[in-house]
Amino acid sequence: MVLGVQSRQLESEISAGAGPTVPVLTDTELVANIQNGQSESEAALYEKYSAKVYYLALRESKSVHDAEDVRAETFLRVLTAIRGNQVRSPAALPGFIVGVTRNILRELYACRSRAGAEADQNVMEATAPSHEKLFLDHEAQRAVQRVIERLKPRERAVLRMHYYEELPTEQIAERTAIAPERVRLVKSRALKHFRELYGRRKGTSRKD
Amino acid sequence: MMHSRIEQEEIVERYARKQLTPEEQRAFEEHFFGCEECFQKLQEMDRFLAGISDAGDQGLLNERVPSPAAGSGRWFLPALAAATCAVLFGAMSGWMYLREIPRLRGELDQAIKQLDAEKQEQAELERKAVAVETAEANVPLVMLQASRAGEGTATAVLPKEARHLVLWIEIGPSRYREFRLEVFSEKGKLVSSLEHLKLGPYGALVASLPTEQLPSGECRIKLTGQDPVPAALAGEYLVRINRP
Repeated sequence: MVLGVQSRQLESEISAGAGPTVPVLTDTELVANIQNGQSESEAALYEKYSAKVYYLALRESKSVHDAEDVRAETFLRVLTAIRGNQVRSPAALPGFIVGVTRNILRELYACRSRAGAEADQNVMEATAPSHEKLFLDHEAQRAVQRVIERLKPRERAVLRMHYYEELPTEQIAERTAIAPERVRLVKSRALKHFRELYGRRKGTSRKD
Repeated sequence: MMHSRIEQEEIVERYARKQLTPEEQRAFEEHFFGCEECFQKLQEMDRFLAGISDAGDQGLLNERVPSPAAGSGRWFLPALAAATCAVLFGAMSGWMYLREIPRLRGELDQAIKQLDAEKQEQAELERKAVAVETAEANVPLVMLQASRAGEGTATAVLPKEARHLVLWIEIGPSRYREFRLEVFSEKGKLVSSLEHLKLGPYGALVASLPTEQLPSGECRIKLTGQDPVPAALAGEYLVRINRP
């Protein structure tokens, strides 16, 4: 099944970034250490932000290969900037990394546009998996189905109208004859239930 | 960006669904790049939305469409089994009601009638047994002599309460030790018989016949020597049975 390949890759990227191989340092400490030439802190910086950069790049580009390229280029530029004392405030490092990532994504689109690949880009966007499909894996699929099974018909209708038909809350409340606050409650309960089931399933599959 | 605002304004969901303004989007990205908790929630939201979208594509969010995740076997097989049982039970009930119950009822009626008949028969037999076992006074007796001798017909008067008629038959000297006695009605039908009659100390044969076997009118009694063989007629007697 093609579905979920990218999601599993994203997960592995995140897992790789979550390993406790490097002591957790603050951004200020990381910046200072990198500026002092400590390569371990560069690895620590990568572990701390790698998954987030990859997530943002994948979300925008919808391409695993582009996301990997964007991540590599982002860290190259961030580390260069830190080493050259170009980061104004170490406490604002997350915002700085986001900015670099977005700049690279813009450059990627601009580069393709200049190369006359606009048509190709449109084709890519049309054939690329939807944003949702990027994050779908089998466990999520099953967990959501289990959540839906336990819903009452009206609650199921609320989810359909909100997430699938993308109707405004007021219209959903009117159609289902429930208060707008109730719509939000149905959503939050379903999400909470999903988190429990998904966490359990991932825990089980990791044990396997 | 504060967590309270993120929670209040459903920023995570709106970011995942690309519903934030560019400023809000940039602010949240800067936040979750530094916040593991929000990054975790964001990924869960993405997966949840992906699952919901997939379920919607499959029609699982429709109100009356059963979920394939529930599996048709989960409810369909038990429901099918229950429906089959109900149909079989109905058919069985109908068959019992329309065919078996009338048949069984007929058999029951017949058995009851047979039982009643057997009870009556048993009561009759018991009555007769009691009658046989009970002592009887004033038993009627008739003395017979061979009709060949030209004697007239003897008469036996049987009162209503008489259950036996005693025959006293004097045959005189004979080479036979045992005799056979047969009683014939006026129409020549054998109505009663006795085997192995022996001569008594007074040189006579004595036999007791149930009165119910003896028809009213003239009866012919035939006496045959049995032992020793060969058998031969020893005498014939005529008796008129009278019932007052």
